[in-house]
Amino acid sequence: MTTEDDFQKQLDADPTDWMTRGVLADWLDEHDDPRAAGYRALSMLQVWPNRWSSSDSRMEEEQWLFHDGRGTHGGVPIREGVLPTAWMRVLVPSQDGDACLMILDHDVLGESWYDKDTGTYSTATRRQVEDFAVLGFSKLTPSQQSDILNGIAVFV
Amino acid sequence: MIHAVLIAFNNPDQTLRRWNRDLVPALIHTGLPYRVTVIDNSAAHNPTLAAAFKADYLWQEGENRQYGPSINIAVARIPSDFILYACSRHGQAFDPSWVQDLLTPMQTDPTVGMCGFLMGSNSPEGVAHVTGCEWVKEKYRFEDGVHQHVQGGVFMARTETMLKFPYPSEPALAHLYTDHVITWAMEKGGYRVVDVPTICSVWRSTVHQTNGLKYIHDDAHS
Repeated sequence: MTTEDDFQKQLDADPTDWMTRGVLADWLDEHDDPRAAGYRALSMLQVWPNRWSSSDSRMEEEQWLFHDGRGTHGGVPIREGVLPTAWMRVLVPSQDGDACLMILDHDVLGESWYDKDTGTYSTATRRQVEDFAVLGFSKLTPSQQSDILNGIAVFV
Repeated sequence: MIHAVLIAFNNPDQTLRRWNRDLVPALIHTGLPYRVTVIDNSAAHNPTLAAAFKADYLWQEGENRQYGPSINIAVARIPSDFILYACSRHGQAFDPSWVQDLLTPMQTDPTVGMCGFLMGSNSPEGVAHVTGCEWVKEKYRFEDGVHQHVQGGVFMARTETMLKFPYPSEPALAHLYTDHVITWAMEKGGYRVVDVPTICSVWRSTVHQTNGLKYIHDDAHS
């Protein structure tokens, strides 16, 4: 029997696989899972979370940006932020009026991101970032969801 | 001369603390003459800041001019060699030699236009997603290379480059992507941007391990 883990393993192997993401959305729908609409939206937009890794020790946490495959250099996706503004505002509350493009580890993992006792950090997984994003989609109004799915949503 | 620029926005105490605690000792440490301009984008005139900075306090009559245009106003105001910007709301110095660390690459290499915390950028294609910023993609198209930019929050720039390449005034770019676009403009203009390892500037994040860092701009320090 197929489980969600089967789909997620496939997406871990190929995060660009929008067809598997769409099938996962159908599977989640069949199980009345609130993440279904968000996974379907990611599949339709053909975007996936891209980890921006830095070897610079000054950067203590990963930045995640949803990527659509454009703007690559040497086969490596360079930073893009392509989730519509309304969606990002649900995920990352506005700061000083700024819209935000990036999702940080602490957005996804909350306080558990940093362990004060050991001084160590946790890094979110692709699956955790996607779950975080798709649950945010479910909080949008039907009109906002419709704008995104119809490709008329505003970007930052 | 170093011209320090601060932008106040409903945070007079933090602005004064940034100047008195973090900037003045470091400016004195460089041995160069210095001036300051405080652009106040607050709704109300602030008598404390006005008394502290006198003619260098420029209340914008209640209009929030945003980050980029505010710096443009300050840069044009005083002839200087170098611009030092520090966010008034967030940041903290841990060593008074931090401004000298920013100054050294500017003094030793005339092709350095800006320095600070260099990090990977969105591409101009990414910025072109922003409504009203489609022109960025064409203007700053680069043939090759992963883009980098000097992170906002704290930086030093050569004044002549800031005058030559002012921040865009479009509303969409007045506060967002400003640091990316100014970096690309300087690089297109033949200047280099360089990293200063003792400076750290992050956005929406906290730096816990301060080993070796002389200035941190993050959400936790103010």
